[in-house]
Amino acid sequence: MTIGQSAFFAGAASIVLLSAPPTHADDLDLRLRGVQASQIDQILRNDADVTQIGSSNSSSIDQRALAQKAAADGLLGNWIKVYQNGYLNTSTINQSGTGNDAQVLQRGNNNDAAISQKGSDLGASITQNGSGHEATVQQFGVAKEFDIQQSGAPKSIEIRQYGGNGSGPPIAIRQY
Amino acid sequence: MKRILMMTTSALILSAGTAFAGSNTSAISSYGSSNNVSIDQIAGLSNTNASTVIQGPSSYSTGNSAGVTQDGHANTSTSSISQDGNSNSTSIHQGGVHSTNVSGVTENGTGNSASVEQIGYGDHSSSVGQNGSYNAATVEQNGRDDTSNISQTDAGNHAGVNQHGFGTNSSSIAQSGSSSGNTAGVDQGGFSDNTSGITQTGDYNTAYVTQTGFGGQVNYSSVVQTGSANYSAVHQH
Repeated sequence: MTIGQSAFFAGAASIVLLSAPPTHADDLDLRLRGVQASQIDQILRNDADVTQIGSSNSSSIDQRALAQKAAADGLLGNWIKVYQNGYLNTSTINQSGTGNDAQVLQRGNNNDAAISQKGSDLGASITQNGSGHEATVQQFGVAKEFDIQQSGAPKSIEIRQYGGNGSGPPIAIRQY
Repeated sequence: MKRILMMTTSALILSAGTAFAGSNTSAISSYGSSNNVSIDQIAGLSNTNASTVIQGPSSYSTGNSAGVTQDGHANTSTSSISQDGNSNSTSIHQGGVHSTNVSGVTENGTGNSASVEQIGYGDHSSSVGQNGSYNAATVEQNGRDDTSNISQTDAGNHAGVNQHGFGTNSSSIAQSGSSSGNTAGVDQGGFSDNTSGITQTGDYNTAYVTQTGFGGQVNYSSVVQTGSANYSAVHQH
C-alpha cells in the first residue's frame, strides 16, 4: 500500500516524503537477526532517557520489543527521551515492536536527529531550536504519527513511511 | 616501615589462609607500600563473614593489594576495603548459597583498581568509590536482587558493571569532577526489572548500556552527560 503524502515547503526548508511497499518488515528483520520472538515477547517496556548538555555530543539508542504484555501501570512499549543542549549534537534512535514513542529535543545549532521505527503504534517527535538542523524520520508499519518542530534556518527534514493503510493520524510539521 | 594490626573474634586470616566454621571476623590495617593482604572466610550455616582492610593510609603508599574471598550457606558476608595511595588494587569475591553479600571499596589516589564479584542465589550489594584519575572499577553480580553503586572523580576512569541476576538489577555510576575521558559500561539481564543510571561530567566521556531479559521485565536507563564530545549508546532488547 502506497501512501501519498504532500510535500511541505516553509522558508528555506526542504521536506522529502517517500513511499515504498515493504510489508512485515519488522518480522523479516527479526528473522534475519536471529532474534527469538519468545524472548522479546516478554518485555513489558523499555525506557531510556538521555540528557546531554554541551557540544559535539552524540547518542545512539536501540530498542526492541514485540507484543508486550500489559504492565501494571497500563504502559507498554518502547520509550525514549533525548534532550541535547549545545552545538553539533547527534541523536540516532532505532525502535521496533509495538507501542514505540521517541521524543528528541535539541537546543543550539547544527544538531542532527534521526529516528527509525518499525512495528505498530509508532510515535516520533523531534523539536529543534536553533539553526542548521537536520531531522530524519523513517517509519515502517501501521499507525504512524510524528511531530517535528524546527526553528531557525537553514533546516532540513526527511521523512519516509512504509506500509500501513495511510489512515493514521496526520503528519504535523512546524517550521519557524 | 611496615606495621600490621590484627584483630579477630573467632578467626583471623592474614596473608593467605582460610577460616571455616561459625562466624568469621577479621580486621587488618597495613601501613606502607607493597603490602599484600589475602583473606579467605567460609562461614558455617546461617553465620556471618566480616572483613575490614585498611591500607595506606599515607598518600605516598603504592603497590598495595587486598584480596578477600567469602563463602558459606545462608549467611551474610560483609567486606570493606579502604586504600590510600597509588597503583593499589583490590579484589573481592563473595559467593554462597542463599547468602547476602555486601561489599564496600574506597580508593584514593591514581591508577588504582577494584574488582568485585558477587555470585550465588542471594541479594548482593556493592559500593565502590574512587577518588583520583586513571582508576578502574569492575563489578560482576549474579544473584537474586543485585545493586551496584560506583562513584569516580577525576579523569581517565573506567567503570564496568555486569548484572545477570534472577531478580532486579540496579546500577548507578557517577563520574564527576571536571573530568574527561571516562568510560562507563553497564550490561544487565535476567528475569526481572533492570535499572541503570549513568552521570558523567566533562569532555570525551563514553557511556554504554545494554539491557536484556527473558521474562516480563521493565528496562529503564538514564544517561546524563554534561560537557562536550560525549557519546552514549543504549541498547534495550
